[in-house]
Amino acid sequence: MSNDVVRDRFLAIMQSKLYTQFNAEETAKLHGELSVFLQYNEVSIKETDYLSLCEMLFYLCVYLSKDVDAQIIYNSLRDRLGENSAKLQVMNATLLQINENDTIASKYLEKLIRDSYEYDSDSRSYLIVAKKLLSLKIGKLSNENEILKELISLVEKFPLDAELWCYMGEIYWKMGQLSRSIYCFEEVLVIMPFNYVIFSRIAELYYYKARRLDKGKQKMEESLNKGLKNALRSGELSESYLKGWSLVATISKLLGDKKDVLNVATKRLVEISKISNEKDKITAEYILDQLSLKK
Amino acid sequence: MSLLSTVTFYVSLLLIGHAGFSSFEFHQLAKKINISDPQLPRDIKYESYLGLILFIISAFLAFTKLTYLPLRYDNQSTKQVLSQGQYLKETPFNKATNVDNMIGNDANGEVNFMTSFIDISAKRAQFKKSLSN
Repeated sequence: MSNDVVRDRFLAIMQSKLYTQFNAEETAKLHGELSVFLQYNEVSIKETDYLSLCEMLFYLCVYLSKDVDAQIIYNSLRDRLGENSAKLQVMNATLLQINENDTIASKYLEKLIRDSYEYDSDSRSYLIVAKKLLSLKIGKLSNENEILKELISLVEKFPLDAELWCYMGEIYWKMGQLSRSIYCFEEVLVIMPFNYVIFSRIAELYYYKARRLDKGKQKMEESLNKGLKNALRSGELSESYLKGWSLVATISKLLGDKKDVLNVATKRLVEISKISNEKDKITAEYILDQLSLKK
Repeated sequence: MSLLSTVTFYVSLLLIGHAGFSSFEFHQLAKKINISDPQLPRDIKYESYLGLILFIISAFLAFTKLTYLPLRYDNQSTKQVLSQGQYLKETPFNKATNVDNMIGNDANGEVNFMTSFIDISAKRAQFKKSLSN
């Protein structure tokens, strides 16, 4: 197996931040593999790639409670890049959070904002630091309404940040306010019009809304139709996206009068069950079985 | 580079080198016996053409199919190399994302996973617990 394939895998995990979704065993395994890879390939890979992989290794160390290793990585990055980068400041706050406590980390970030970011024109760095500060505050808040209050005040300052809208959508979803949640995710789409994952998320929310909240056949059909449109857009943007096509199949079956759409979705699901990865293959077959669609 | 392309590459180099040497020798000879307008013999020409054609063929044979590793290994198949049997990446967006779906990637993960809002303390506690079991 070539070294480039392994490097590309690490970089893809770094860029998509997929490592944040790994479970403990996967994280430990990735940490082991990445440490060995970086040890032997420091010279052979590009400097930018090396630094971003170091950042990933730092967070893996933090998640795995390898505090000394995390401190070493932070120190080497700080010596190389200086202390004025927002990403390094967030890393430093993370270290303060795990070595000291949340309050000290919050104070450090608040001081940074008060002393410089509030007056600087560097809104990107401000946002990165402000989001970290918000995540520290959220840890202390128990009530979703309080979280929303904090979140909305930041969204008012940065209305073009997709992640804030996405998080707000998730909070509204947790609270059961599906219409508001859909609105938030639609805002994400205004910022990222080709984000097919969010299209299928909206379709999913419309589906839940139709099944749980909508009273009356007409209202339910209206929600299902909106959901179907979003799911179809997701399928249009990504030919083999399992969640998008599964929702197209589920909703069109429920609506009953969308035979053509159901046929296309069945065709796509059969295709996915043949060509995709093992997990998607099994899931696609399961969905086809559940919906009793012919292969 | 596959074995076939390597062999073809070296044969083509040999042919081009030999054709060049022959041409040099021919011109030296032509100078000695005073030919005013020497024409390069056909065999040398054909040899250099063949060398060039083989060189191009070796370059095409050197292309390998694109391969990827799944981003999350499942228990059954560790490090199974995935491929779509293609030499070049797709350009239309709806087809280009097929690779992402195959390897389990999400190009907009930075937003979709909401990574800024991960509760690090809770995650550390949970990982500690599950790794100690």
